[in-house]
Amino acid sequence: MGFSRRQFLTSAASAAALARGADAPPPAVPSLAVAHCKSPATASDAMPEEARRLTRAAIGALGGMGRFVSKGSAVWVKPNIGWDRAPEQAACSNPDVVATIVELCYQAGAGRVTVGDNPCVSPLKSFARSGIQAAALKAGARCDFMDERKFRRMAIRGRVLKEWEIYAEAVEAGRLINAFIPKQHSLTRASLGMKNLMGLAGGPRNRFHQDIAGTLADLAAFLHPQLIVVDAVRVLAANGPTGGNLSDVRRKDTVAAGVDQVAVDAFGATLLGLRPEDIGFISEAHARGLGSMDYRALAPAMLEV
Amino acid sequence: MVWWRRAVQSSILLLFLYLFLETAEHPIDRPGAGVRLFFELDPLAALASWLAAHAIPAGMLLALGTLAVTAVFGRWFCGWICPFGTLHQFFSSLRRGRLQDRIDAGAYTRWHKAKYYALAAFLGGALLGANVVGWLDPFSFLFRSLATAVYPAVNHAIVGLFTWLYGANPLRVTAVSEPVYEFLRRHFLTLPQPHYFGNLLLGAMFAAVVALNFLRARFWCRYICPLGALLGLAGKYPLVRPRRSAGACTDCGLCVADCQGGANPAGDWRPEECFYCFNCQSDCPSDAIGFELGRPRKAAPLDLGRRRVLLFGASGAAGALLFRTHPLGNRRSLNPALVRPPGSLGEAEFLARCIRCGECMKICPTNAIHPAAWEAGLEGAWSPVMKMTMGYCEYECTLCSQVCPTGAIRPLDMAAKQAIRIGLAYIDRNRCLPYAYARACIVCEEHCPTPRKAIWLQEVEVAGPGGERVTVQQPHVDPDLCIGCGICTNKCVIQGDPAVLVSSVGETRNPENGVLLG
Repeated sequence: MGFSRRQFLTSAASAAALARGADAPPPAVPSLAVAHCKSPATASDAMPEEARRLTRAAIGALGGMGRFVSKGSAVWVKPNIGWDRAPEQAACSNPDVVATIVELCYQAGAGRVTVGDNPCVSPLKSFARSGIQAAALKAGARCDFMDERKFRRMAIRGRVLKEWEIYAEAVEAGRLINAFIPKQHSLTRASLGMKNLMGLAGGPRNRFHQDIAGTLADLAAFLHPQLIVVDAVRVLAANGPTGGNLSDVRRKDTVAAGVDQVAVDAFGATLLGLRPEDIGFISEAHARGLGSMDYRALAPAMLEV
Repeated sequence: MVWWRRAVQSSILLLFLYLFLETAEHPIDRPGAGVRLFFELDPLAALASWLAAHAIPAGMLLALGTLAVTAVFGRWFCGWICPFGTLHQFFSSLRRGRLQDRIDAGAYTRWHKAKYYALAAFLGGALLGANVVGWLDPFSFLFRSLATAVYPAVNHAIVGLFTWLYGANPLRVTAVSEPVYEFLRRHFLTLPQPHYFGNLLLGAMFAAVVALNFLRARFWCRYICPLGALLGLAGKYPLVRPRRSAGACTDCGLCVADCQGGANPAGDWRPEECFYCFNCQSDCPSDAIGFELGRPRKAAPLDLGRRRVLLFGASGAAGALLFRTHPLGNRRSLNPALVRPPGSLGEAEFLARCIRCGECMKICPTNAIHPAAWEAGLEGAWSPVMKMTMGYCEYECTLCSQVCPTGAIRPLDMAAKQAIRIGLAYIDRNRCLPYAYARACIVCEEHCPTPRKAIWLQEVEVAGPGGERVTVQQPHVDPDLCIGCGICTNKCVIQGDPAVLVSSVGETRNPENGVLLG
């Protein structure tokens, strides 16, 4: 598996050189990069540093944040802040992964970075308990609770969702980064990136479940995040998406980043021991051409850091 | 002296309102500091709890201080401290009318005795274990009315205004209004908007009690307030008395016109009705009234009549007996709709302590706790009941147990709270989507917060609308794991009449209401 960033860039560059023909496509950079920690932190106070290092490595291998964020642009970062749970319970995204994304955005010249989610429980508690609000604010992002007035009914034009309430600021920001944590989920089998996008929807979203594959594919097509980050420092293997039991948490010491929502989710599914083709929304999104669930064919950059 | 009083009253009213706002969810599982303060100063709540439950939480021993100060100096508490009194005094000061009418209306009447009889009835009931003093305890009345009626309405008005400004943006006012709204959102408003059952009645009662000030100055304090009655009895022989110089007095009656308690400052002074508001001193055009240290010289006796006091006390006791012989007093007819907040004591003990103050209702972060209407019988009117269609019991929260001033909801740490079952969920298969309509759902299971989920799913092949085979996941409740938190009810896609419901069956606090073996 050992595939360093340098090796990768060299091979990518040579592949690009070969491919450069009449159309002269831009030099290829990988569409998926997976950073795994070869010596996982054992002390709990070393976990933040590990999460930060992995995040920087994965995004760096994609060509750096500058590929997604231009000078002065507004960025919306969408972690999972769905539950009143601590980071070690793996029900919400890792605060250090989120903070690192925010920092990288600012380093790439972003004008304003906002971190937000529409949680399933009280935002006051989940934003605080997850550690995400404090980490995001410290990194210089805005991190306010969603404002009921700012959901707007938008034309989704999907197979299932024709119109739905979506958080307008997240859409209007123009740059969307989806930073999710893989978790077991009884209906979809796995809560992954496309499922995480539900947090930008308002209205009676508990109706989505009646055709979850269709609605998630619709949302993914509509919101279309430019960058998707898999926070698999820890994953939740059972009793998800709420968790609460530390014995259901698995250390994966992995952060992946990609530009293809379907491929990223397909990779995320494997972290939970699942096959991508067994997950309805991944299959549907793949069939609709939103991306490729055969993530291995994308020659992901596999980094040991 | 009057201006001193006004300054103290306003400060304490502001403190009360501040503590009211602090009785809210915070980023950590703690209420603001000192939110129980006023209830802990309340000797009536303490006395009733002691009579009915033979127990007083340590914090309420502060009330002994209130009693002691009143016994030595008189009813200053009503005139200077009580925020409800301050509110009444403010509205009383808006009264207008002919001087002579106000003099006639300001005098002491036998109706002043009503509050003592009310007190006798409350205490008579409490002696037999029926503690309903919270119906008319002034702090309970004020806090409960604000929490369930006044504040939600004000909140709604403010949010509505700023939402309109945000949408219409007249004169580009949002440049100013949005920062203001953001400030209010952080420090004053509650979002999402709280809603309480019973708000119309409680709001109307509050408005009526405020409006009565236009009939008589501080009508509530004079005629109704049972805490005022208790303090009046305690402060019957105060060490501060008015001094009237007969030579200077012109018998103009101005002192009576503005007397807040109807204490006859110009005649036979009634120490038990005097709030020490100093209006008489301030109003007197000839400086004929002052105050001095010393026992009242010639105080009018408070003749309540032993027989009447006994009669009202016995009525209260009789009421308590009727409460006890109501079907809800029979363990065979526990009301399944009466789900109490976690940490609530067994029903009899709970009712003996609860003063219906509304602290738990105000602080519940999901708006799940409401004033009971019929669920706990008349005896339990306005005691807290959980309505899972409105909110749910947040797994990671112990706030209601932390704010309860009387220990009716005992203080819990997180581990203790999470081990308590407040009820048990059951599924209505006639409406649940995977059972009734062969549709996918599992929203209840997804939200179930116990570390091992109390809702489990069974994959079943059922017939779809056209007879085709459809595989769905049908939810089941594991009664060993369910704690009755009701988030399943709250998040159920069928609103109003959800397909998964919680009843009080199996609640930890009432072993008689159990259902499971072991």
